[in-house]
Parts: sequence; structure tokens; C-alpha cells
Amino acid sequence: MSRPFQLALAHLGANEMEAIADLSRACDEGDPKMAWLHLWPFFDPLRELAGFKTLLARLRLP
Amino acid sequence: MSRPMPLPTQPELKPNSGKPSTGRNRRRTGSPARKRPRAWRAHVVLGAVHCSRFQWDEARTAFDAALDKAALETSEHFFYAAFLAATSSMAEAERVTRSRVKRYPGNPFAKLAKGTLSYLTRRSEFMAAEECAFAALRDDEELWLSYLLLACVRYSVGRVRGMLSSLAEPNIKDAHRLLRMEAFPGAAILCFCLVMDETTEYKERHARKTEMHQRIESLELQSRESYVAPFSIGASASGRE
Repeated sequence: MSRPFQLALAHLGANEMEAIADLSRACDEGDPKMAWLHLWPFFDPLRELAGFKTLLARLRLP
Repeated sequence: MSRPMPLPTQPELKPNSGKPSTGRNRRRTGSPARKRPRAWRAHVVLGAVHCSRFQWDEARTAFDAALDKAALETSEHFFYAAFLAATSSMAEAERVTRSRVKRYPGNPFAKLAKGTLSYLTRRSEFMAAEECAFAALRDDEELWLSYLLLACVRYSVGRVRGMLSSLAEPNIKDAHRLLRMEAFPGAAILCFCLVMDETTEYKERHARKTEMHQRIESLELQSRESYVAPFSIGASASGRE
């Protein structure tokens, strides 16, 4: 389990930028769940945010 | 003292002709698949490691090597389906998971793999994933993964259609009970927040500590022991009232 990923979920309702920062840290830690970042329905509210798109590009995900 | 360097007058070794002359050599130079029939697993694991590093080309090479050695076993491995999903080959990922369910009808993990992909693709507005989770629970009612998938489904349905979300939190609780640890505090917070956002009655009764409020407080205390205080964030999110 990855704390940053869980923290991102916890932050989703309160602070979207913080959630993206958590996801970035999960990515740094090599959390396997991040391979589906472009698919997780949880993160639908973040999809239009620039930070989220940057993260997808960093992971070379569509 | 270091050993002296070999003299340049040493006779050169002839390159291997590739044609073994003895039975022993023939065994040594046999194809990797024959020599190490279970090596496909190592390639699958290597592919998964590359996936977790987001090295998609390297992952593809590793999975291709595994497919060369054991096509059926590799294609039915969850890591391979996960790789296909990550690289947008979702139709192929769903095909291989469906195939595994057909081959192993009593295997709850095969159903959960199919259900997870159905969840990610939002198939039938998540209902296909829910069916898979229930089918897996019929095979093994003590499988925490089934409850986690159910929680994910119900959260997502709740968010999109405003229903079933109240069922997500008990599902997370069941997963934690079977795991004997609170492994998904973030998901639990998310489910709490959704329910609280929807339940205006809760907001009206906010001054009194409802059962759910107390539950949040206890989880927050637990999370401070093993996690970076996420429940305070969740409580603050739900505490907009």
C-alpha cells in the first residue's frame, strides 16, 4: 500500500492541488497503481486540471 | 599485490561456432524456453517492475519475452492484463481476463481481475464490475479484494448517480476487517465524505456526535499512528457544514 496514494484519495474532497501533489509523490515512489492513473474513476474530478495532465505526460500515459 | 596482466602473446580463444559437439554442450545451449521452462514468470515480474517505473517500452519487451516462452500462461496473468490496460490496449486486456474466467470458472481472482478492468472502463456504468465482485464473493465470501472492489464501485456509482454510496463505507470496513488492518484509510475518507455531502440530515445533526462522526474520530486517531494524519483532512472536507 502506498501512503501518498491514500492521501491523494483523502485530499480529493478538500484540496485538489494537494491531491495532485500526493499523486506525484506516489509516482516518485513507483506505486504500481499509478500505472492506471489515466483510468481510475476516483480521479475523474482532476482530469481537466493542468497539474494532472502534466503528471499523465510525465508518466507517458494517454 | 595485484596479479600481473596476461601477456599479449597468449593464444587467442576462437569464437564459439554455435555448433555444440557434445551432448553436454547441446543441453547447455538449448533454447531458453526448454532450458528454463518457468522463466516466463521472471519476465512477467520484470514487466511489472518496468510498469511500476513507467518504462513502457521495456515492459513490453519483458512481456513479449514471457509470451514467447509461455503464451497462454502469460496472457492470462493479471500483470499482463494490467500492462495492457495501462498502455490503452483495454479491449485486449478485457479479452484475456474474460478468457481466464472461462478457463477457471471457480477462481474468484479471475473474476476480480475481470471486475477490476470493468470498473476501470466503467462498463455498464460500473454494474459489470459489481457483478464480478458478487460472483467472486460467491466463490469466497472472505476475500477482502471483493469488498474493496465493491466499495470502489459503490463510491463511483454514488458520485455519478447519487446512489449506493452509503454502501461503500461498510464495504471498506469489511475489507479492513478481513485484512485485519486499516490499509485503505484514504478510500475510507473518500466514502465518508461522499455520504456526508449527500446526507443533509447529517449536517443538521452535526452538533450532536452521530455514530459516523465518532467513527471518523476513531479512525483519525488510528491513522495518526500509522499514516500521515489523513483523516483530519477528510473530516475537514466533510466539515464544510
